[in-house]
Amino acid sequence: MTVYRRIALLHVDPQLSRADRASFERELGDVAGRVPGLTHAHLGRHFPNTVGGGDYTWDLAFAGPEQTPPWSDQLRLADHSDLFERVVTRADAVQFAATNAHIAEPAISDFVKRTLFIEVERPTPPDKAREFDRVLTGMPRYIHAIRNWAYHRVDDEFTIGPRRWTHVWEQEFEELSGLRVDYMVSPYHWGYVDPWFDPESPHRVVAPGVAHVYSPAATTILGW
Amino acid sequence: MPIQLIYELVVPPTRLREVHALFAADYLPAARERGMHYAGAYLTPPIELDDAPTTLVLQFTLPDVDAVWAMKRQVTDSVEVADFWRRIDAIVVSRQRRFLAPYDEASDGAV
Repeated sequence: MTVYRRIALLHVDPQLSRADRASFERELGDVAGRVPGLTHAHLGRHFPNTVGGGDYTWDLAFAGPEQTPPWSDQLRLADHSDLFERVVTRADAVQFAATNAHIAEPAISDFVKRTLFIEVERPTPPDKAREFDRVLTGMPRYIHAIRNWAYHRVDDEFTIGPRRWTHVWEQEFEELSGLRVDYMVSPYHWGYVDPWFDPESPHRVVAPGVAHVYSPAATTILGW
Repeated sequence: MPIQLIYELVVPPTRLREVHALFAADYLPAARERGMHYAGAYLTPPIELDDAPTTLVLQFTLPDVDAVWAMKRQVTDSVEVADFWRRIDAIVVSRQRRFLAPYDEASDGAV
């Protein structure tokens, strides 16, 4: 059975007290089972220096697309509507059927989960978009610190927030250095993948502004 | 590991001086400030053609990968750089931008 996933990147009120923050984290992290169809949930607090995605990644998995309530219904069913009204200043949520996850290390533990939301410019010709997909998803063959990964086109009609994200590129690394060093120094990345993002490059297909976030997790999320 | 960055601008006949002047005035000074060491401009074929495009090759070097990312970060939101390339794109037939790594190290660890 294909898992249906929703990922929300959340910006929270910077004035939130330590106690309120802890309560918010418990509330969202423990939501599985309180919404019909919701099978897994993980709230990851972002490491410092992430870009464009706020403070938290909220990973959710549902039993299927038909068992996935609309975003506002999910919040209401979990009794989160008022909490979000008080605490969350911006939410970017996308959802998709998890059909393209590659799990080399299902038992990965106490690791780093990285999430990238991108918007491939919609006028991009299909063959060029497919080439971008091929190049991007080639990264794990060259960057062995990427232990588990997933790449998905989101279901446009359900996207929440100000940006019209098209794709989510996710990886699980055993160590933070896997992302900050191995991923960044690889020539495959800076010389072959990044031109598709670079405003100076004639190959660019990704719209300016990405959400690049990463947070700690205890057990695999991509392997749900 | 020194890294080369090569621009190849395919310029239609009669426009070569205009393109090079644009580059020299509106791109090169800021590029130097971004840590890009200019290694010169070259033509291929090695003479300006009057009936077909000539490729203007602009060569830079960067000392290492940190310098590559530092350069990229500085242009991510640059209106001036985006405008420069828009003006170039309005003239040239096509362009390429290539990163080159030394052979020995580039091949190290490749699949």
